Amino acid sequence: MTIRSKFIFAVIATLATSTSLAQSAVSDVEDPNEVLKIAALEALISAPPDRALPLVIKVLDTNNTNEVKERALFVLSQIDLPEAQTRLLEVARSNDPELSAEAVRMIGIGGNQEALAGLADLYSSGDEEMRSAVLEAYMIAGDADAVYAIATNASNADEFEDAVEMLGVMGANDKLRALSESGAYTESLVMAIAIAGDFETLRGLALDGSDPKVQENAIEALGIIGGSNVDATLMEIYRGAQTEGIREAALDGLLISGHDEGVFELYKESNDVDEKRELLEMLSIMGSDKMMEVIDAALQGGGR
Amino acid sequence: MKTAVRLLLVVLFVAAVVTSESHGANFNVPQEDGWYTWQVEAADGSELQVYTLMAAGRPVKFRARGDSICFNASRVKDAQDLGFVTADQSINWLQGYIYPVGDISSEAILLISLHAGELPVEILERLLFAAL
Repeated sequence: MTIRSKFIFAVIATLATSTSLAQSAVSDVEDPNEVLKIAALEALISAPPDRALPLVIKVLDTNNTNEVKERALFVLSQIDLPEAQTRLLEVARSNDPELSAEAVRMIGIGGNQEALAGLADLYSSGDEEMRSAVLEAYMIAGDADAVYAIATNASNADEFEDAVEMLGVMGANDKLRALSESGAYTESLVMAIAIAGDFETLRGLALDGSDPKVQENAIEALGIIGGSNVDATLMEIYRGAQTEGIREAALDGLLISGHDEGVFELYKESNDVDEKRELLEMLSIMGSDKMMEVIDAALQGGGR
Repeated sequence: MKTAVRLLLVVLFVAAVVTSESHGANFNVPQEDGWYTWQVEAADGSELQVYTLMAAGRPVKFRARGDSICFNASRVKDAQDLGFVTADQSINWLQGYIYPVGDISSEAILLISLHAGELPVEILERLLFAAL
């Protein structure tokens, strides 16, 4: 059986979901025929591909609701036959906005390399929804090369940011590093590096003062990664800050990483009333237990 | 001539038995409350263990377990074993519970699809295009 390890998939996709999906369909869809069609489509995953394919295509070609056809597209994505992938691409290129975007996503789920390669043209000629669906498909398929190509060929900032964000979600550190080495830093690229969890690259940007805006973004974004290395770096940056912007960014980073002990430490170290007030506010925002220690000290007249 | 008639009768008898088995006329799950299980040939040629929970004379849950499949069957305990039945027998019993459409309809369809033979696809095809 060549429908992608039929029984294993039946477990994770059909068995695990069909009952809940079909049961929710029972409650959401009033037409009992439609409920049964959806259940039958999902069950087709267990059928031999050559038997399932004509049935799925017939469902797409006949008068069915989009919900039923979307399920058919999913089954199509699981059929490891060239005709199935060809048909998915045909639907993706069709004029039906809902089904074509769904077909694109299903190509991502199917992971067929030829079909995935066919999405590049759709991205170029598609509207925003289609471009988003193509990026999503590449993300599902784990095709970081394709997303990187989109980022490097982006014709505007929005397109670049969308692709970069997707690379961050995919944890494509090498691709993000390659983009950052090109010097085209943007806030979204810094955020994507943080989302990807690339501490070393982000730390390098956070300590590089050649572009203060990028540096501040990187310092703040360190908080997203979190952890003891990040906390130590942020404390170091805060203490050595030469500008208000860098200091604020480090404090925001500490807030995001939730390092209230560090903020409390800075509070104790400071002799500046305004700074102490700001750090106290930060502890309050963080909901830190350290606030109690500050209050106790104030009640005892310590003032610390 | 007599030999030929006898041979024909034997062939007809065997055919009748095979037909009876393959259409599942004799397979029924007891109506008493509780879990029941039976074995069938699965679509991949391995053995599929099918389970049903009967309540008030009707199945209220379907489960299955095979070589590489487990449809919530791990929680089934103390099921009465009905032995091995042919895939078509099991399918014919299961498809009696697709209608009226309810919670167990989709489970019945799913289990049917896991059985060996041509019948599962035929049933799925009927369900897909019944209203056309």
